[in-house]
Amino acid sequence: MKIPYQKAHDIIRLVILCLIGVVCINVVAGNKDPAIELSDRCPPYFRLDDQNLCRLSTLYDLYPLANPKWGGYRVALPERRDGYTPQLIDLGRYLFFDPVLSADGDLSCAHCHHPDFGMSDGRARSIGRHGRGLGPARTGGEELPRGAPMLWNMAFQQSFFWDGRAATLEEQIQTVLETSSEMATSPEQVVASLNEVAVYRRLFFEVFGDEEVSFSQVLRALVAFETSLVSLNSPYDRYIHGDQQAINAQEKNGLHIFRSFASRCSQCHAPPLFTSGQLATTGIPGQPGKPYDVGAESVLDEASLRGAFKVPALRNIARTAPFMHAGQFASLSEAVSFYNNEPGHAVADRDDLTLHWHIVNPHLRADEIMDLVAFLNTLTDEAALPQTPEVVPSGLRVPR
Amino acid sequence: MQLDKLVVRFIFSSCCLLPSTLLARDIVVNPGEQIQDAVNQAQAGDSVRVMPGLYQETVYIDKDDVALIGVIIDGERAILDGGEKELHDGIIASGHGVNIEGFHVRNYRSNGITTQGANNYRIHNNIVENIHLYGIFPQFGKNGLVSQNITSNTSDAGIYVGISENVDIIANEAFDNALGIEAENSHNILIEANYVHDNAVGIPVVIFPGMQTKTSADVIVRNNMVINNNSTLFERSAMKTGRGITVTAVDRVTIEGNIIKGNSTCAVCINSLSSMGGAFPVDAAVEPEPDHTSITRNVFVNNGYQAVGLEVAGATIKNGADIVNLARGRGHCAAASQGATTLGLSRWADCDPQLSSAHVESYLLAEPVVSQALSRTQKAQLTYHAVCSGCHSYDHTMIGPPMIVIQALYKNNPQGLAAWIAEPTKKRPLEQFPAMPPQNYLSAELRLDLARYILNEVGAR
Repeated sequence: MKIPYQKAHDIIRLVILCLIGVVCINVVAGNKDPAIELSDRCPPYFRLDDQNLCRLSTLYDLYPLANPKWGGYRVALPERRDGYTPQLIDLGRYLFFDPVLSADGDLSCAHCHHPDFGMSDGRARSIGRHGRGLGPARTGGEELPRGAPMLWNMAFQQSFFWDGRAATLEEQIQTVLETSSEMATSPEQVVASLNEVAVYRRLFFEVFGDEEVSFSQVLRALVAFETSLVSLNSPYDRYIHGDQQAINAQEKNGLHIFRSFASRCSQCHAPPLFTSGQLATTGIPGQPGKPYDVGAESVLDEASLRGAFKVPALRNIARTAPFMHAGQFASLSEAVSFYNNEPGHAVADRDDLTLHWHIVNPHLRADEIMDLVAFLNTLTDEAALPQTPEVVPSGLRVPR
Repeated sequence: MQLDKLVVRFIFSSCCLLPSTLLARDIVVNPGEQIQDAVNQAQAGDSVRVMPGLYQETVYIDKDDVALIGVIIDGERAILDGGEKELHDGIIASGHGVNIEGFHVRNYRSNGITTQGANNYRIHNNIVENIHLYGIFPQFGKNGLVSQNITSNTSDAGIYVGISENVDIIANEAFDNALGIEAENSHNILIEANYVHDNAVGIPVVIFPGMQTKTSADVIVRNNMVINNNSTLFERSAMKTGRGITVTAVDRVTIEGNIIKGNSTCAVCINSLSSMGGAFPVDAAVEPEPDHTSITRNVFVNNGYQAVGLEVAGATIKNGADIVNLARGRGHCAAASQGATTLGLSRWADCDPQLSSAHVESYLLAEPVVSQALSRTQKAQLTYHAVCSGCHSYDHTMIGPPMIVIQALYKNNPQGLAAWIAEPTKKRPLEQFPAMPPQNYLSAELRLDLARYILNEVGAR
């Protein structure tokens, strides 16, 4: 059959229009890679159960069940958040790396919590909105008052942020999304942005079975991903499980100093998580030219908590210099040496602070400080570092 | 006193679950040898027997069910000496079911004998002296016995049980310490038949805020001799000296059947957290007042004759009393029949004459604290995911090669795989895969079960 010229022209025009339309839709929706599929496998250290849920497995589950809040060595861990599907965890991973969550489309969670920098950013204080680049090289934009905590073993934590002001991970995530100097967005805007991305609509539908993305689903996916970042398999752990050669003599001596009551490190950084999860005022110095950060005092309106911060976990600590809530110390050796001094020595108004009763000068020798640092280096296990996606569903630039 | 029965119960409860004790060995250490070398060799059920003599080291027991015994011959003991307080701790145990007895531990900079996170322990018949902080310090543990030890001249507590449950502290002597026997942030603690004298504070029972545990309750202080605790040896406690037994914000403390004599501030002082001054931050999760203290059947002689550091509403009190209450709280009682002198007890009730703690013979558990019950297959499955899955996937390359390759290599050879897991040798170029750490800490049985799981189950679904 012969197609009249005009008709052929119309068809060609239609095809071209359609093609342009598809391209336009794809560009608008940022759908550069419609092939993104969610993983059906659990992350490292998780077992897929009969319900298609990922369950954390750790050798600490083989130890006697006393009170898991205490801490100790060959002890069971406290209650954890797990039981998410592999697909939900992977959806959370895409969201985590996707700047689509921010108001300006240029800031993702991973900009401050990046695998290349130990799930932190290698900075004293993080840069939020309008920043450019990644890690220590990140410039411009709004400098935040504190550094980015690393995200290991969030599944076990009961409070979040340096000052402990969020009681759940959901609350923590929402706060970052809504803070004007960080993601500067709103639940409504997040949902609207995601609903504009066809790939996200497909992925959310696959996971939740709903046509439209909801904000609680976004939080749930991010929580599922963040709680999958588990580090409990370092040389230290192998030593505690019984491999007497897993750490060397210097590191063992460091462990003994760490758990000695003269230095008291293990009292607050209680293993296996290396945090008691409590607030403590340690007398960390303020930052030159900046107002003193009162920490939990302003959260709880409690003067005796002036300068109190949540005891940070020490897992993978060797990967996240600089240290303390605003990067006051460049090295582990500096951080340890801070505690080897008279209580309150680094603050101007010592009398305004109720220092934690475990802050005492242990009078460690220089070789003992080196041993302690050597021990802290045995706490590294990054096997569960997440893969940075090649592309994210929005098509926006992946932080790398 | 039921000490022998308690010891028998402890030994029975520790051993009945351990078939390996049938093969238990004695490893003997003589002067000139390192105790730690013997501990490193010891396996569950073994005893390290240390002959009398001088040993200068820190001994650490990071494994379960090991006994560390100082052999006593003609009154001579194995002496663990920290030198001029160069060494931090005498003995550290994190393993469960440890038994530490018979030593003379002295001159350490931190603790004499300490357990952290150990359950089902026994610390018995040790002499611990001249220690910078705590003499005997079990912490973060459940089901422990501290008996017939002698601790002196520690600048903090002679015996300190911190953040623990179900611990009996029986028939010890604690003297010339800042604090004699302290129980902190703990539950179900029995302090019985101890001789606690010449410390600044004899038996403090306390909860501190800002810790992992937010309550402390059910402590029995019974049938102790609490005598002349007026020491000013240590500067940090000199301003709080003269106290026999103190209760600070802990609930349901029973003080019963003690002889409390010659303590200059008080035989018993009851405090709230707020009466401790501004030393601690406010912890909204900790209730600051003690409740349900009962003080009954005690003998009070010559206490409170010259109070030290005793303040009520900002005013210094010169004379103390047998029982001094600085707290509020509810449900307290003191038996009038004791004839005690009192201060601040106007709201307290007389105790019911029938009130007695005799029904609590011991807080030790009838059975040791155990792990969750898992089958061998479940343990193998758990271990695969807890350890192997960090580096290996079923069918793609992660840090190590995929399991599908391993399955082909070791088909029908779980023994070979189990042996390799224990002592991995390099098979592939280092630049391709990093060296696998040995997994020899897993028991031989578990390694074989794990090998079978890898060969038969991984990827099968």
